[in-house]
Amino acid sequence: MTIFDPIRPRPERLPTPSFADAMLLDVARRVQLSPTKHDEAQQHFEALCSYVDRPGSPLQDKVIACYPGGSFATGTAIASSVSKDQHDVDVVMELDVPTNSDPERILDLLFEAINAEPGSRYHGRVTRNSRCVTVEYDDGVRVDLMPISRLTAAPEKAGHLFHFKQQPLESYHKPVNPWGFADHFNAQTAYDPVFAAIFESRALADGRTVAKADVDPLPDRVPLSEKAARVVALQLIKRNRDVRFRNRSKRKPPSVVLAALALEVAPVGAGLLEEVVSISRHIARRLQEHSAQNLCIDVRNPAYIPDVFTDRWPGALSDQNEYVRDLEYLVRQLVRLRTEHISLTETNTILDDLFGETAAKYAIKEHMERSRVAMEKGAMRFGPSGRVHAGVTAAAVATNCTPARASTNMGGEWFLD
Amino acid sequence: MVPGLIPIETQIAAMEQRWPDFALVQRIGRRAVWEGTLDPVCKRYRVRIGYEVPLAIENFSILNVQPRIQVLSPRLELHPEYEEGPIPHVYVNRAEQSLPYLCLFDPFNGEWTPSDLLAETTVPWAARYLYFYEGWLLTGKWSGGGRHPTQEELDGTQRPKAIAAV
Repeated sequence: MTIFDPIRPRPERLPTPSFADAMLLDVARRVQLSPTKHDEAQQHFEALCSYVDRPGSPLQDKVIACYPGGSFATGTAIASSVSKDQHDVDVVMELDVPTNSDPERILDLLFEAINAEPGSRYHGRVTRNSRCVTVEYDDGVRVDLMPISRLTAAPEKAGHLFHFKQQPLESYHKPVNPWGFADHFNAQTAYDPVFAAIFESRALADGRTVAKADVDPLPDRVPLSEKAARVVALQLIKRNRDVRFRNRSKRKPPSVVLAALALEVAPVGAGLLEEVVSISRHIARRLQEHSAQNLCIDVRNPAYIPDVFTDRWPGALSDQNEYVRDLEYLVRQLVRLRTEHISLTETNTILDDLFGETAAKYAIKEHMERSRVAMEKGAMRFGPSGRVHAGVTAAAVATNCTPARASTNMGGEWFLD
Repeated sequence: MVPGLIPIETQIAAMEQRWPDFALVQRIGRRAVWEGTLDPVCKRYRVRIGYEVPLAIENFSILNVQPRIQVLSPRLELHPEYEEGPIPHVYVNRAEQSLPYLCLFDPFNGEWTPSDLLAETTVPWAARYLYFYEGWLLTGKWSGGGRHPTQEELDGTQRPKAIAAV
């Protein structure tokens, strides 16, 4: 059995963010998988794959390969629940079974292989879904194992997934190539040195930088701070989607659809907020174009055209129109954040509304903490209108701004005669 | 003029050069008042700064001669339930309680003297105050540092809590 980890690019060093970008960067940092969580998730799925392949398992010696799929493979994974620090990991498990195997049978076998007998390692933590088997861990990680059988005469690692649902009865095979898409996505989002610098500088802004070794203990794994703007923008769009769909009991636009559409638009290279706006506008426009023709959008895997990403969403025109409205609202609010003279309280309200309370609170807290440290270090700078720049941002704008020496705010009940 | 005391003309010139958006709205002898806008985060605040250069013969204390900074609009909010509340780091204005004077430096430790330019101290300090004030409004906590005067400092003057209006 081989466990693959798609190779991701390693970007370079970079510059500094605007206030709005800085806030979005902190929101993004909060919704991402921490390096520790990433490592734990990886260990979980590697152990799972070995477990399925173990002697005595109904799928003994049937596991050909295991590798991350979906957001985990493209580096766009976010927490499924930020406040609970809950993460879902999509894993593709290639099985040595005929491609025309009965979907129900394959999913049942995988379920039995993992759930096993009472008292065993994963017993009671396993759920069978229509295309995967989910294992839940105490640490908040949920691993979705999707079995596929490899297709011959197809691109590398293309295969059939097995779909089975009891109510209403659905049983079919679907051609997929998650590996190919991850490879394609990562190749398209390689090297964004401008953005990479922004994340880097954000981490360095307050002198509280976590030692590199703590952040990235594995030399072959790209740290969060070196992601491309498009990747982080996509994470924010997904987070916004999750917030909007919290109280809607319907299927949400799949991450892979958003990722594929995001690849169609060229990176703007003008900061994170502009990247989110650009991608959101593009996706909204693409959906609107189809709605105008009374069509639901058809998005395919660019690495394997038979792989239809939109097979389960949108189910109706109303679904895609609803998401267009969500994206338009996201853009409007972000433009407000960028251009209007709003207070920190209003900024928090916008971030809370768009990305949830926990992430918004984190961004504000980080902002204030960085400011406090910058003030104590005498690193604050003041722009022509009194705009305060703290930390690395201050250094970057130093030529246009003046410093001021430290002073102490005095407290107490002081009266004026 | 006492050596080290910066004349009001110099203060006015420095303000005009460094903070052109601050307009001189009053000038009477050694006294000047400016009004202008600061936007430390994004939101804009209308601010008034009043200052009178002390006379050479005056036996002044920094507490009394310090510049007076008020936030004209939007008025500072009262939050008695917050840390440092109801408004952090201000001198209460008995005449107009909604227009307190910002307490931007430690008058007991020479952090500011009449030898300092307002343009280089008072205005950026006011911007910094408003910056942390916005954080305080949102979180209920004051992140901008500061301290309370000691009893010795308070006992050091007959009216320790009083500063003169300009």
